[in-house]
Amino acid sequence: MSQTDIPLIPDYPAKQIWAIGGGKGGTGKTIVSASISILLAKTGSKVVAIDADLGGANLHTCLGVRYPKTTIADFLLKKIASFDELLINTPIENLKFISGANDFLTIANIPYAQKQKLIKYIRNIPSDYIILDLGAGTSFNVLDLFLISDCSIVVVVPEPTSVENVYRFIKCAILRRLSNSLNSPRFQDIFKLATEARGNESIKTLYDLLERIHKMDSSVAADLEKKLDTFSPKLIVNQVRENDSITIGNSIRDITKKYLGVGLDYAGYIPYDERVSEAIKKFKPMITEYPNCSASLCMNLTLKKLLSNGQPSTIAK
Amino acid sequence: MKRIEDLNYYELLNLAENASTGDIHKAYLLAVSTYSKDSLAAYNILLDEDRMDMLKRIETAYATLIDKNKRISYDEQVLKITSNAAVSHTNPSGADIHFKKDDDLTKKDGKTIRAFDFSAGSMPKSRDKSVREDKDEYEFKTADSAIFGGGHLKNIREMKGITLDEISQKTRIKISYLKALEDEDFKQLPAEVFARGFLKAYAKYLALDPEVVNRSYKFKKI
Repeated sequence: MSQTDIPLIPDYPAKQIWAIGGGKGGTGKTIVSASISILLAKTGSKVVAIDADLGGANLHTCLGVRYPKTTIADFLLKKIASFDELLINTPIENLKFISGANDFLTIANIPYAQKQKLIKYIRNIPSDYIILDLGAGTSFNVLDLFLISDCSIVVVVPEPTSVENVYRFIKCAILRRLSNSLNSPRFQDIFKLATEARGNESIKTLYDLLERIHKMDSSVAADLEKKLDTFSPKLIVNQVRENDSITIGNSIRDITKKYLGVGLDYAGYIPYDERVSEAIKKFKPMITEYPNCSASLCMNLTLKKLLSNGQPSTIAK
Repeated sequence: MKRIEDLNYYELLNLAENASTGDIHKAYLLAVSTYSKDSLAAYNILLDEDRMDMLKRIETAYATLIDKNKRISYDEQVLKITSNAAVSHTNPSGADIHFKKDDDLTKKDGKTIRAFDFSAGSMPKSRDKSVREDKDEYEFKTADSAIFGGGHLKNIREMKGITLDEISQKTRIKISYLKALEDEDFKQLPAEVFARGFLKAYAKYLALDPEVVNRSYKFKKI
């Protein structure tokens, strides 16, 4: 091998940001985030788990960290000198943690400039994987953090309220993604119509939206269609109690594809397991406390599926 | 992205164009449960008229794809996929048609030609081998291997307007057993080997593939 053949930089896999969202609270996003973070760390990868639920942070409890000394609020309020001071060690090798912001009333609604600053720092964290545990709802802050990820994961439980919210979340995310890629204000009215569309209104589906834009500018519509085609979030069905509920992931995928135009990937299901709440009550991670419980085993399978899908840079930025 | 009206039968049922008969049955089961009246997945998302419209489309797609002759005709006329005439005329047994994989689709005169494989047994054998040799891959597919439980079957029965009483009279299976199958109330059922027999008879009466239903029905709770 000649000297010129030797790579200057080792061929490490690119850093990946995974975001776990889903719209509704109480679906188990935080447990899923903690479990994925720990399992990835156990493979030897460097992982940083970030509690991005700024209004209701509790990822630390699921990771076995009782009292985080620093939080994102300290960074945003300039109480610490550098972002690196936020990195907290966890009981798990290779896994560091950044705590959300529990005690500040306004921190859940950070202004645009602070959000951009936060995103910039998140992107620069030296790690193989960055796992973002997002808050509930479809605020722009939540959606924008969801959309910066290389692998976006939505968690749903088989209950009407959760299923309803997951569609809403996916719809908002794709509209935000498409809207973000347009600079011209002439399309914003159309997006507003699409966002508020119900029933038989003129822009009922994304197809209608794209068709309307196509009439105004076909090249813009073609670009948006590419953005739509490359948006492929992963779906995890959590707290499954009945055999029938396993297929709800396939059903959600079908409806999302046909009516929203978004190709979801059903990554797996996690059965309801009492061990989850037992682990939380002990302030211990479920994955390490009960590695052989049904929820942990299915979490392992789900992660394998997520990793086997290839490097989930399925979302073209 | 396509309009619902523009989806072909394979796209409606989320099937590859080389789907086997078993795949079609399974896709149909899933599609009906997705758009049934009590579907959790469609709840408050689709207007009732949209849901009913989709069910009609699914029925039409299924009725066409499950019938070999109708399917071949549909493939030729709509998808412009023509069967390999030389091979298709050599099926005296009328055995089930096994479509080969995508790489057996070839282009001829601007049309896609599908080679049919009538060699009964060759396909299942190779599938068994692939399952044995690629256990990990098999495990990854856990989420995709749908389980059709009693709730799904009940949805399909109700959609077809069939009562438990009717099935009981024709199959001579006690209503309480049929209900227990739908409710997954396994304590009310006899030994599994007998209960599976009931399940197959029930599925057959609903014009579902008994083997597909039997394989995907689990006689235990999660």
